[in-house]
Amino acid sequence: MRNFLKQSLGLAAATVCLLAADGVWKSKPVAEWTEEDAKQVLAKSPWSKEIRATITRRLTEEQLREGGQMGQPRGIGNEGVDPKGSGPKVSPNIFGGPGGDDRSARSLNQPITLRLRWETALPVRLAELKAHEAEPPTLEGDGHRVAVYGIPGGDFKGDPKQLGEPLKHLAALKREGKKDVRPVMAEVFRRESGLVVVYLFPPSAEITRKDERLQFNAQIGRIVVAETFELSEMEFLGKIEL
Amino acid sequence: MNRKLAKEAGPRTPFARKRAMIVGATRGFSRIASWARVACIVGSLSIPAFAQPEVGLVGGVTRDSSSGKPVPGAQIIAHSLNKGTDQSTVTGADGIFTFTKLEPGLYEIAATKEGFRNSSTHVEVSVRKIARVELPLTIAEDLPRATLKPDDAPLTERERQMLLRIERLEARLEAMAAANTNVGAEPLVASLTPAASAAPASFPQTSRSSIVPPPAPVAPPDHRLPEALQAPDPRPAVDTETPFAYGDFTWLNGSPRNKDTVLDTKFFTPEIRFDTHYMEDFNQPKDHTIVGSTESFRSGEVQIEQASVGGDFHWQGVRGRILFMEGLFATTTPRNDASAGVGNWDLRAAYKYVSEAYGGYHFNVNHGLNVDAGIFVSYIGLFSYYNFDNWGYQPSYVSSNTPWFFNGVRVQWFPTAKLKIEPWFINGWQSYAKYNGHPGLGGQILWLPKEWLKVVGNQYGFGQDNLGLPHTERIHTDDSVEIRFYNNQTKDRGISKIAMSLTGDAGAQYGGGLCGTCAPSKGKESFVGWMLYNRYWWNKDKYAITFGGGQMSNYGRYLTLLPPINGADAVTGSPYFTELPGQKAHMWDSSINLQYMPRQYITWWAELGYRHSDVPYFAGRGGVTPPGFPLGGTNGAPGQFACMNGAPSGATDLPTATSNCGSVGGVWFPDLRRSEAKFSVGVMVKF
Repeated sequence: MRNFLKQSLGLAAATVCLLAADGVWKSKPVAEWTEEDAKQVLAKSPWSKEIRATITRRLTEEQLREGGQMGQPRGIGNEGVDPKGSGPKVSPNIFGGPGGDDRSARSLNQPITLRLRWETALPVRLAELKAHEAEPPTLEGDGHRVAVYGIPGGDFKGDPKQLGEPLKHLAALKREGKKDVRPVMAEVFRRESGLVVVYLFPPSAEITRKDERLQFNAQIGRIVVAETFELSEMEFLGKIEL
Repeated sequence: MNRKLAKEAGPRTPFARKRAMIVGATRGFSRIASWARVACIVGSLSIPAFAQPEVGLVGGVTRDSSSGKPVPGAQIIAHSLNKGTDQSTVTGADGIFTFTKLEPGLYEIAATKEGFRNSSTHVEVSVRKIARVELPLTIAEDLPRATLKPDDAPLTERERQMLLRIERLEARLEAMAAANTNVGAEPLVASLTPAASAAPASFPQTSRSSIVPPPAPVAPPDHRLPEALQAPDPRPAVDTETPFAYGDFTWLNGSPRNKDTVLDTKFFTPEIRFDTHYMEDFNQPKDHTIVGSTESFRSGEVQIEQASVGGDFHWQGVRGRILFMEGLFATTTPRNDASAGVGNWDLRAAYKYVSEAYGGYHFNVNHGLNVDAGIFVSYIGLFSYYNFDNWGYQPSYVSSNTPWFFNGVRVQWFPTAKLKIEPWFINGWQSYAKYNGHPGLGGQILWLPKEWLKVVGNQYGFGQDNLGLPHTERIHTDDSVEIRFYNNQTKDRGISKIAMSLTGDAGAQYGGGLCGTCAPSKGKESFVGWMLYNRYWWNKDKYAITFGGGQMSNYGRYLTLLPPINGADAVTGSPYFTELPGQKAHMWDSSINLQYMPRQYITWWAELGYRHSDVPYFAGRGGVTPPGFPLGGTNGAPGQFACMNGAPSGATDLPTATSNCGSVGGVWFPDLRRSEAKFSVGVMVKF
C-alpha cells in the first residue's frame, strides 16, 4: 500500500511537472488563459519565437561593384543596421598590424535577435485579444501572415506596401520536396521597438502535417532570417495553425 | 451532444468556452479606468498608425447601460457613411475596442451583443486624430435569445474565418463526444483542453481507458532539451541576393583584399591608390629603361607607378565611376595602343590621365543589370591593372602583354548571385579608337560557384585591330580558373591560405594575307600562352608568398609589347624590333614575390623575377636610348634607324641607314638581350 501511494504520488508529481513544462496552449483551455498566459503565447510559443538572425557583412565598394552595384544599398535592413563604432579605424602605424584581422566589426557577419510571429495563427489571434495587445498593422487579404519584429533602421517614410515591395521577392516558406511558397505581399510598419515586416503568404499554399517542417526564409536588406518551424508543434485544438 | 445543447449548456460547454475565447471574462472596471485604457491603447497604436498614410483612429468602450460595467465580446462595426464600407472588431474583456486604420470621414459606430439591444453613434474621423466614443448597451430582455445568433452579426473576413474554424472544431469535438458515449461519457470540455487534464471537478471523471485522446499536439523533445542539445537550425548567414556577396573573394588574384571601405557617403565613394617601387634590373641598362612590360619601366630608381584618385558616384540606379591616374601609368599605358594613330585628335593625351571613366544605369533585373558606357579597365589576363590587387607585381606575358583598357559599351547581367554575363560592344581590342571598319565584340562570363573557386572567360572577335590592315580580323580567348585549396584563419601562426591560378590564352589574326594556323613563312599570326601562380598566406594573411610564371608564343608579334627603343611605341613601330607576319616571339618567365600586409590598406613587397626570350628583347647594359643628345633623350624619329651620334638616319631599312650614318660612325643599335633578371621592392596603398 505504501509503495502504491509512493508510486501514485510520484506519478502525480511527474504529471504535474510534465504539464508545467507544456505551453499554456496545450495545458489550458483558452477560456482560462490569463493575460500572462496570452503574453506567453505571444512571446514564446510554436507560433512566436525569438530568433537569432544574421546581419551579413557590409561589403566594400569593390565587392559591390564586382557584383554590379555601386554604393551601399539603401532601404529597410540596410540602413541603420550597423552598430555605432563598428566602422573601420585606420591606424597611422603602417609598419605593423594584425594582418588579415585588420578589419572592422561591420565587415563580419553580426548576430541580431528578432521575433517571428505567425499572426494569423488562431492561438496568436486569441492571445492578442486576451493580452489586449494591438495586433500588428494588418495586411489585407487571406492567407498566412508572418511578422518579423525588431528590424533596426532609420526613419523610413512612405507607404508600407511600397516599403515592403522589394522585400516581397526575398522571402519564402520552404518545405522539403515541394515548391517554395512566396509571399503575395509584404508591408513594413514602424513601431517603437523597431520596424516590423509582415509577409502575407497565399492561403492556396496547402501546408499539411505531412510537411513536417516549414522553414521561413527572408532577406531584409542585409538581414538574413532562416527559421524552421516544426508543424507538429503548431497544432492547436487538433489543427495546424499558421 | 448536439450543438443546440452545447449552446444551452452554460458556461462550461464547449460553445461557451469558445465564445469566451473572444468575449473574455474580465468585468468590473470603473469608467475612469476604462477610459484610461482606451487612451493607453490608442496611444500605443498611434506610432504604427501614424506611420501609415493619412488615417485616423477611433477608440471606445461598450458598457452595460444599467450597471455601467464594460461589455466584452461586443461586435463593433465602423460603417463609413461616405464610402459605404465597413470595418469590424470585437471589444476586449474590458469592453474596449479600437479602429486604427480608418480613412477620414463620417462613420457610424455600431455595437451588437447577444442579449443587448444594438447601439450606435456617429463620429467624425480626422487624419491623425483620435476620436473616442462610448456605446451604452441596454439589456434586451424582451428579445428571444434564440434569435440572437452570433452568426447574425456582420463579421470581418478574419473573424468569420476564426468562427468557421471554431465551428469546425466544435463539430469535430461533438463527433468525438458522440463516439465517446458508447464507452463512457467523456465531458466535452475535457476534450477541449488539449492536455485533457483540466476537466472541472463537477464533471464525472471516466476511466483512462474510456478517454478519447484529444487532438493534442505532440510536443517535440527539443522544447525540453537544453539549447546546447537541440539540433541547430540551418541559418545561412549569407546574402544570397547580391551577386558574389555570399562569399569572401578577397583572396582572388586581381581583387583588392580590403575588407572595409574607409570613406563612404550616400552619393560618392572615393578611392585612392598609391604605388611606389624601386627596381633593379640586373642587366643594369644605362638609360634606366626596362622594356617588355606594362608594370616595370625604370631600373635603379624610385618611381611612382600609379597615383590615382577618383571613386564611384551612385544615386539610386544612376552610377558612374572615374579614376584618374598619374605616375608612370599615365605615359606607359597609352603608348601600347596603336589605334590612336588613326585619324586626328590626340586620343592618348585625352585619356592618359584616366584609367576608368564611365557612367550608366543599374536596373533591378534578376540579380542586377547594368548598362555602362565609357572607358573601362580590361579584364584580359586575370591580373588587375592595379598592382595592389595582385598576388605579384610583374605578371607573366599573357597578362602583362595585354593593354589595360577599352572604350565602348558594356552590359553586365547577373542572372544569379554567382554568375555574371557581360557582353561588350567596343571600339577594338583594348583600344581607345577603332582601327578599321569593324568594331570589336566580346564579353566576359564570370562564375563564382563556390567561395574557393573562380572561373572566368573573356572572348573577343570581329574587330579589325591592325593599323593599316583593314581586312585582318582578330579573335582571342582568355580563360582562367582560381582555386583556394586551404583556408584557416583560426591560427595565429602558420599557413592560413593556399591558392592557385591558371590562365590560358589563345588567339589569331586572319584575312588580308594573314593566317592563324599556316606556316610562319605564309604569314602566321597567332598567340598561345599560359601562366600559373601558387600563393601561400601565413600568420593570418599578414604575409604571403607567390611563385609562378608562364610562357607565350606569338607569331607575328602582334601582342608582343614593343620595346620603347628610341621612344618607339605601338604607332611608330621600330626598325630594331619588327612585328612582321610570321616573326616569332617565344618567351617565358618566372617570379617569386613576398608581400607583407600588416594592414588591409597597405602592402610592402619584394620580388625577384627572371624573364627569357628566344629573340633579343630585353634591355641590356647599353640600353635602348640612342646616345649623343645632351639630355640623353630620343631623337624624335623612332621609326627610323638612329646613327651613332643619336641623329635619325632618315631610313627605315638598314642598308640605307648604314649608308646615311657612315659619316658619324655608323648605325646605332640598342642593347637587346635574351634574358632579364630583376629585383624589386615597393609599397602600395589603397583606400
